[in-house]
Amino acid sequence: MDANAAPLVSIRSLVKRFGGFTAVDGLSLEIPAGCLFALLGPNGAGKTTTIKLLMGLLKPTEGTVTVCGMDAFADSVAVKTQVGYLPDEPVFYDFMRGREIIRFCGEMRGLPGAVIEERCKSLAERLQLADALEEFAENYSRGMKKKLGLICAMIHEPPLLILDEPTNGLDPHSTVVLHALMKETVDAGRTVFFSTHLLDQAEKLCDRVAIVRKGTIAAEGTLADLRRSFGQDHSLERLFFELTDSAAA
Amino acid sequence: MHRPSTLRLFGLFARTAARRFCNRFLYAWQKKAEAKRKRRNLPEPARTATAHRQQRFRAGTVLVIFFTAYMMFAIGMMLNQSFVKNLKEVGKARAPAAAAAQDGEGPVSIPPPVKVDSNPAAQPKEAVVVVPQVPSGPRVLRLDPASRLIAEKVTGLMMFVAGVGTLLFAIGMLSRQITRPEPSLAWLFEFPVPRPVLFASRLAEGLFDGASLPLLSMLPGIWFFHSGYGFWASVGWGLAFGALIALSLSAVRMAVEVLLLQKCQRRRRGTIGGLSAALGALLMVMVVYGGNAPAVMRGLLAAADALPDWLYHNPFSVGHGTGLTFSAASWFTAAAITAVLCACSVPLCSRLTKFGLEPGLETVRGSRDAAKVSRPRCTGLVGKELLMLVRQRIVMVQVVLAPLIMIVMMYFQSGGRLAERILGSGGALASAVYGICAYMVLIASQVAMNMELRTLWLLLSLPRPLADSLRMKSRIWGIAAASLALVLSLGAVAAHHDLAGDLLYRLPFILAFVALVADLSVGIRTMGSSIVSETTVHFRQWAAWLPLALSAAAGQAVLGGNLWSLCMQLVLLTALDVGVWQKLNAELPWLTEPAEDPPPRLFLMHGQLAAYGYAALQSLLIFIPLSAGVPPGVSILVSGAVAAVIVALLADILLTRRGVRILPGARASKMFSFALAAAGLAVACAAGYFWLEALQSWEWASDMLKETRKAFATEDSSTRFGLVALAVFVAPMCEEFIFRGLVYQGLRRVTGAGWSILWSSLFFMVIHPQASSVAVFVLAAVNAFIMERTGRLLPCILVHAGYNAFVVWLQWPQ
Repeated sequence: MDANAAPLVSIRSLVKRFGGFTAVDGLSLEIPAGCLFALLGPNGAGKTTTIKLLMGLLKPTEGTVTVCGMDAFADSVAVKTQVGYLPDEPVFYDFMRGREIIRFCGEMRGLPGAVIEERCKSLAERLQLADALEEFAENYSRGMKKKLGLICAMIHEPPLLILDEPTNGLDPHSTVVLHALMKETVDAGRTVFFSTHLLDQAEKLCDRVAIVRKGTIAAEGTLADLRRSFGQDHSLERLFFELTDSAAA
Repeated sequence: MHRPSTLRLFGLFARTAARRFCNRFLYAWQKKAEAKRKRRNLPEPARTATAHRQQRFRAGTVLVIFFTAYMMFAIGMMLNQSFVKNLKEVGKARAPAAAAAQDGEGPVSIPPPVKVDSNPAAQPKEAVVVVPQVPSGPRVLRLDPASRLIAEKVTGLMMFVAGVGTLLFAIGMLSRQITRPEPSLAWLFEFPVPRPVLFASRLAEGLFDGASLPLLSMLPGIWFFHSGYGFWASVGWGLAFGALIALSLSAVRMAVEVLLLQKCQRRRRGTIGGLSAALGALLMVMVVYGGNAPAVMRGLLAAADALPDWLYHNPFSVGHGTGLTFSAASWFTAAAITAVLCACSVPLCSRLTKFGLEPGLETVRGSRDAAKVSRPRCTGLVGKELLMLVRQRIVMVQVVLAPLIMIVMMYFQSGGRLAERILGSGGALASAVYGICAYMVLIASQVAMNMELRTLWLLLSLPRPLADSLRMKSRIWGIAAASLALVLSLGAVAAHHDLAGDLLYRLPFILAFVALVADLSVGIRTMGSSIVSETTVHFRQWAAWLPLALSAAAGQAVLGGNLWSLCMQLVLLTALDVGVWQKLNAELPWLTEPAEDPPPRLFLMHGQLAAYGYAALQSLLIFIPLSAGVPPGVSILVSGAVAAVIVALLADILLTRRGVRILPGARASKMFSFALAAAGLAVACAAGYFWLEALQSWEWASDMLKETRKAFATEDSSTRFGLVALAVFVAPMCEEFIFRGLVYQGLRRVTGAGWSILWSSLFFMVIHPQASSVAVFVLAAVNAFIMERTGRLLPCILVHAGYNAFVVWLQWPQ
């Protein structure tokens, strides 16, 4: 990874207030291209708000968010050509089959039909959704909806994949496949940014992690960096509890 | 294990529903609380997303409501007049002796009033027959006793029909229970409450479900008021009867929904829901327009005679119909029917859910055969819309039945002589074609938008502006409906050659109106949605009804066929559409943002609001000085001036003080500006002169000219003075500020100078009398050009004042 290359995502002094409540409070983060980046934090730390700000669904109260050099809110349409997004709980149109929804998403991104079919086939087979693609999507279980959302997000092979709690609701097999897909995406030179509260998942997968606490970054860097800063014997779990003040142990 | 008592649970459900209802309004009041907090420097409370979004698109909402209110008022007045006229006719036929006694004495000649005590507690419990003796006075239905008896019977039956129609419509359209795969029942079943208690408690929700109780109480309340009860007594009795109606509705609806949910597969539920909504709509149409058709009235009357009394005492008939309106018997019967409905629905629902909710029936299966890959014939947004139409039975049934509903509506409107009226004139045939297509497009776009806004995250994650995607939807439906209009028109022309001229002359307008209705329907629905998050949305009912009223206004213009009215409707609706979408284009990127406001900007909508507001204020304010005995001329001048000041103040408060710059700033020297103004004045005056000359030479225009000259031909010097002062001093200032300031600059921000000059001038033209149309258009275009080149308002005001003075001089009686 070239340390001097411009970061793919750059978040500077980001503040997001909802009235008197500050969800994100001076968060700064840089995500280099081609890395697998996890945003860790307890519930209500501001992970989903940060992701919505990245997607241009919210406007920063202060600070800037740029994706591929473009402002996430002002140039949100251009940003979305570079991004695939999976929300925490995707909802789909009534009376449309899984395959039709994937096709719709692909077409809205200008992909030819044959390419959509080909990518859909390979992704669906790996995620074990191929058998259910002819089913109406609203009948899907939560995990199936998540898989369908994931295929929709990956169908155009975006340079940046933003996943909000991607393993919520997935069975162990699909979780393993998802991890493999995330790794392959990064190996292909693209970037994956995901939020999670599953520490073992982050420890196993990620090049870099950021731990969010009350809307600010408590620690950020590679796992090796973090260990150097906080002591070699620290596991990510211990680090997390120390930094987020949630003394569960 | 703790388990709440039945009574407590009943209270809990009622409280929760009431709380949800009140919260909608409480959120709107939070703005005031916020201002107070800022003044006192108190800490800021957490602001909810809903609180903020309730205030989004406020200007648009006001404009659309304003625009449609007067049309609905006009249509309502027309229907009411027709209803009363038909009642009298039928009444005369029924009771010739009574009617003969009334002949020549006008409508009001009724026996002395029965004094009805406004205190309900003091009412005797036994039946009090009041029908033959009707209280007189301004609040009373001014009908003779015979007609009054008929009115009561027919109205009672109509109310019953309307009640059943509302119920069917509610089951079909508003119920999420039968159309969504995850009913809220499943969630309620998690609690440690026996099912009968749960279902009984849910009935309480019906009392506060949305705005149902106040709405349902209105009709009986108005009826009590008209019958001589005092205001507060009417409110009290209205609420009591409203509660009975709400409980009955709730009981029937719950039973039907659970039955459908447990016993029908989802697609069949859609079909039943669609049919139910369409039938409900038909019944409501019959009630609204039935008064127009004497044949229907006679039929209703015959039915009213044949039906037993208890029918009128059920909750939906609001207890009246046979002269026992205020009797204890009607109350007992209505309460007993409500109790029976509630008592039947609870065990039925409990029994149906004895083994839990039927998961197999909740969903509909697609093909499980993965090898059988479906090949879409249409793709992208168009394909998606068509798939929805074909697969969503609830939409398809209604869209297909829409023409039928429309035909029934027209049947009643034509007084029961549909074929004769429709096939007898090109205008009626054209309005029928327009009506069918407009109604179809309205239903399709509304239902499709409901679904689209619930899955907003999907559109938001795609690289296309949201406004584009939504507008594409409106275009798809607009094109589909316009194509249908074309096919229907050509078919009608082929069948009736003699009507071809009338129909083809209106055809371009029909096509344009249908497309505009689709565009406005989608736009207004979006403005009327409260987006809580990208997967949660609340809909406001007005957004579903307003497009219907707008389309009705265009239908009237098509029926009349007057070229000026058609052009006026076209320009006004287009302007409204441009205004709505200009706002949406600018502010839709902020739709999911709860805490930040888009920067305040000038929109065409502000100009439209100012223009309509000025006209309405002037028309209303004039009554104040007139009623105080001020001479008409002075009243005209004063009301015009005060309206202008109010509009200017509002523009200052809502725009300038919020940092919006209305005028672009001077772009040319004073010398050049006034020289240009002098040239412009010459052009405008020449246009005025030649237009008046042309009008005088055209025979068909002589009436128009007479109308305008009549105003100045008055002997009253104060009226002359008022009109001249208004035309030369007040109107130029106010109209130039509105049209060259707000309207032109609002358009200019998003379009080129040419289009802005054209559209602002057309808008200026259609709100002026037809007699001055072309000349006024030239004046507006000249002034818009001056504004574009100089950026100054004063030269425009001077040109306008000079032109008005010149025209007044030309029109001045010799």
